[in-house]
Amino acid sequence: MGIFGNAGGLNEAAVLEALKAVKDPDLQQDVVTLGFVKDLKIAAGNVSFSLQLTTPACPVKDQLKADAERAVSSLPGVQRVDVQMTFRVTTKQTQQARTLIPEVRNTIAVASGKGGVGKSTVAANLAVALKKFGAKVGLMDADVYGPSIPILMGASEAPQVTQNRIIPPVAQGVKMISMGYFLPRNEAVIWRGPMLHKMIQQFLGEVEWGELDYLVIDLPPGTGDIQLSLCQTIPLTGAVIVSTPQDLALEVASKAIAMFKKLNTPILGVVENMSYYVCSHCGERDEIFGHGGARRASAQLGYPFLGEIPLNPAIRTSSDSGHPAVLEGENTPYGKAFLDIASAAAAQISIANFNAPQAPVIEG
Amino acid sequence: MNVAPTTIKLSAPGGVLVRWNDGHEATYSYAYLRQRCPCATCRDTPPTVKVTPDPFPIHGKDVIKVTGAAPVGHYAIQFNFNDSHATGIYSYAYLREICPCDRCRAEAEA
Repeated sequence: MGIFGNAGGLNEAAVLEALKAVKDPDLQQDVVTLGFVKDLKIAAGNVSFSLQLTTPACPVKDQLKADAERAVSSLPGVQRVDVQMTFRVTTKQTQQARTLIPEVRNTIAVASGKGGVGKSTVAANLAVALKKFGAKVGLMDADVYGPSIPILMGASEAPQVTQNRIIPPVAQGVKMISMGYFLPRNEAVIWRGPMLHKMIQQFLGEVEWGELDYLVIDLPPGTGDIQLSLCQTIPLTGAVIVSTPQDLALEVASKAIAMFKKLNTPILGVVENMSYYVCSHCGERDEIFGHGGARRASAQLGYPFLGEIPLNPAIRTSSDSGHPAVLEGENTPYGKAFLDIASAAAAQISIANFNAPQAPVIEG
Repeated sequence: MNVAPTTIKLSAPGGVLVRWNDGHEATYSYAYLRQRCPCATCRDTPPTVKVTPDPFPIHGKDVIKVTGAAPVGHYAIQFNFNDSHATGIYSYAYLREICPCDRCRAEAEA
C-alpha cells in the first residue's frame, strides 16, 4: 500500500477507535475491549474485519453488525466496509470439569420444581435450537425415572459401547445420552443415591461427547440426589428454570431456584411454558394456567425472563413423533418462541462466563 | 457477590490458610477442620482427633493432617485427611461460618 492509499490517515488504530463506539448490550463493553474484532484488513478505502461473538445464537447479532458497519463507514476515506460475523463460544471450565468433559465448553441444566411443566420438551428444543444457530450441542437426559429424550428427539437406536466408552447416538445434529437407551421397555429404574451419582459420572465422563459448545442437561423434577450429584460433579455454567404460569408451579420452582443459589450455580433465567392457548377454531386466546406469572416471579427474584411458550397441540404431536417443534422454525409462534428462548439463554451463558466466579486455587 | 475462597493453602504454618474474595483470611488448624467435618457420620458421632504426637509413634495414630483437597462444583471444597476420611464437603458458606479467627469467633458467640 503506497502513501496515496493511506487516505485521510485511515489505519488500524483509527478503525479500532471508531469500533470502540460499538457496545455489546449484554456484556456492556465495547467490541474492541471484548476482543471481538479479528482479521482487520485495510486496503485503500476497503476495510474488512470479522466480529467474533460469544455465541452463534446472539440475539443482537444483526444490530452489532449494523452498528460496526456504520461506525467504520463514517471514517474519512472509507469506501467499503465488509464485516464477517463469526463466533467462538466462551467457557469458564474449571479443572474439575476438565478431567471429565475436557472439550465441553458449557453445561446448562434445565430444571423445575414441579413435574410435568415441560422440562424435557424445553431441553430438547433448546438443544435443537442452539444447533440450528450453528453451535455444537449435546443433550444429556439425567431424568432416570422418566427418560423422555429418546422419544422427543426421535432416536431410539441404542448407543454403541466400545471399550468402556459410550458413543452417543445423534439426532437432529445433537449428540444424546439417556437412561432410556439402557432399559428394556416397561422396566423402571429403582435406585438409591449412590447409583444415581455413578450414573451422572458415567454420563459425563464415559460418553464420547467430543467438542461441544453446549451440553444441555434435562433434570428430573425436584431437588434431590441427581441435582446435587450434578452440581457436585461439575461446576455447571448455569440453570434454566421451567415453570407454568400458575402460582403452585412457581412456588415449587422457587425451591429449585433456592437449591441452585445454595450451590452457587448461576440461574440463567426462567421460561414460562404453557403460557396461553390459542383456540384453533375461533382464534381466541385462553390463559389456562394464568399468564405472565413466571415473568412476574423472575422479575421479583431478579432473574432474567427468557420467554414464554404457548400451549399448542402441535408441540405435543411433534414431541411424541420425535420431531422437536423448533424445527418448524420462525413460521410458527411456538417455533419462534423456542428460538428466541435459545437466543436469550445463549446470551445469559455468555454473561455468566463473563462474570463466573473463579475456582479457588488450591496450593499444597 | 457470594463469598468464596480465592486461595486455599494446605500446608501453611498452623494448618490450612484460606483467603476469601472479600479480603478476609484465616488459618484453620487441621484438628479444628477435622472436628468440624460436616459429613453425616461425623455429625452423628464427632471424630476423635489426635492433636499431640505420641511418645511412641509406632503404637499410635498419626497427628491429624490435611493431605489434599478438591473443589466441589461451584460451592464447596472437600478435604482429604490422613485418617483416610474424605467424605466431608465443606460448603463455602459453612467454611466461612466456622472461620476460627478471633473476630469471626467473637461475632459467632455474640
